[in-house]
Amino acid sequence: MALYPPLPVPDELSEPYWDGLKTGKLLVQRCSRCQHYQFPPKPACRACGSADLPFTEVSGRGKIFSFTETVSGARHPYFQSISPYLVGMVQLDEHEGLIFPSNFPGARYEDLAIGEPVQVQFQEFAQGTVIPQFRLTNGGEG
Amino acid sequence: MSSAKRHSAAFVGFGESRVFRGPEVPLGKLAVEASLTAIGDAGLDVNQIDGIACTPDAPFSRGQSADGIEYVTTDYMVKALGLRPRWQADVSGMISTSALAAIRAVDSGACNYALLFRALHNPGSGKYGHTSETKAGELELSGPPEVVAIERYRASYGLYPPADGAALPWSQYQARYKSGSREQMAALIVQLRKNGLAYENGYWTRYKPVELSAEDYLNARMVSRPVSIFDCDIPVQGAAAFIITTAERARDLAQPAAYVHGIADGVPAHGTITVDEALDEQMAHNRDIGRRLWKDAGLGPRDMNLANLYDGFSIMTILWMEAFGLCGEGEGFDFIQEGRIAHRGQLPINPSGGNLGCGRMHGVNHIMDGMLQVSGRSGNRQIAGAELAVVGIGMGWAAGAFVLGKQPL
Repeated sequence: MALYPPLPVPDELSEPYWDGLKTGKLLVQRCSRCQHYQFPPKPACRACGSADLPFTEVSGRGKIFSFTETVSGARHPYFQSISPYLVGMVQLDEHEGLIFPSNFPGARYEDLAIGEPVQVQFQEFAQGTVIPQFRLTNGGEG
Repeated sequence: MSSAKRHSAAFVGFGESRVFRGPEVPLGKLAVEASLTAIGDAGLDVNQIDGIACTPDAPFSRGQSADGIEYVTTDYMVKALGLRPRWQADVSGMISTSALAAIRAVDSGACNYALLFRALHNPGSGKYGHTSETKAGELELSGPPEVVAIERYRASYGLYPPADGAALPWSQYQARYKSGSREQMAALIVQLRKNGLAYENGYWTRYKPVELSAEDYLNARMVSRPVSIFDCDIPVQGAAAFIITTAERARDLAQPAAYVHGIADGVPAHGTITVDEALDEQMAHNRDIGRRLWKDAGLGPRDMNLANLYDGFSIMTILWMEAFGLCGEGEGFDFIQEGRIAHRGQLPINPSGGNLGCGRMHGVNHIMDGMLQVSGRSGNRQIAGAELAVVGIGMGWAAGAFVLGKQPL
């Protein structure tokens, strides 16, 4: 039997995010009052406290914020099976603090550096779930 | 200095069970042993304990769990010892969170003699790291695992908050300050193991009493780069307890006291996946705790004779040093070189070994050492002239800090 990573279960708060990913769009909450973007979805704007937070499409362009290569720490069978693997965070160009996880598909550890530009792509699992990934804009294979 | 007069609390008793690698002895029994030892150490009778606090969290979640086996609550202890507390609190987080609650309870007069305890369970080899994510992995046979809550945004990436939560800010630190290599980190790892081996109840002292060399560290199994296995504390099973009372009552007890000069804590408002993965958010929060701590104590980093800084992961110690202003920003890795943090150095750090030198007791070792150092009770680990110690526990999440002093306020 094939191994899968843990897959997210949408809830009322996050459903627009997951639905957007299925149509190739990266949607995040944007505060109607102060224009602050935020991810993950939350009940209130962390910048101003407003609860008026419609989902808006963002550029999907960003820079590597932090990264590691998990060599032997994985506990989940799927990630044990693909170790070592890259994981880290990406900060979108919209503004500071708008941060997403990524596995930097196609890159090697040596290719990664904080500040390197990345672009969103979408990874689909057999179960129909889609998650955003970010690949190096300059380089990385396939 | 006048602002510092608000605290009247003092640490007056300490007790600890033996530490074990696994669950050979029920956790509740260890917690009771530790508590009775602490009460006896203070020269008190069980009937005098009128306040009780603990942090009951297990450092992992496995679904089914039982009080006295995988965690220990104040209810368990009240029944085990037949206590009749006027004040009782189970506070989530690290021991710092329940310790600060107990200090505030004593300060406010809610109780006179508070028993504070912490019990840490280790289910045994290979089973420790069971998070909600891993639990989902165990369901793999019946279908793809599914995750909820905050995990839904990170589990699909194999992002593991414990080790990756240390590796990611460390990667940011390296890029920003052009410092923080594993070669530099070796100085801290080697020193803390050596310190831990001087403590009779440390895990390594009991089970593998050998020092680590810098070469051992550099060759260690990598977990999440640059975090290796020796940058992570080893999980243990054990319990510890402290007695906290008023400074006035402390004078009449069996042992010299460690007086609380200042405290600060708080929870960070985080906006990223979790605060652990972002250096700036961690540091902003910890610097804020540092500022409030020094203001509360009416003291500053240069007044400290030693520091006990959380080291569940090695990078946390460096970040606490900088957050408290014990060294400059970006200078932590330089500071730990050349014996400056050794017992006779400029600023001894974790003289009893901390988590890395003694096992994952989640900050117990740090409070214990700070308390015993300033009260002159550290035996072979005693720092000469130790009158003031700063203790920082947790990191970002569940962070709390104390200044402990030899003299009452």
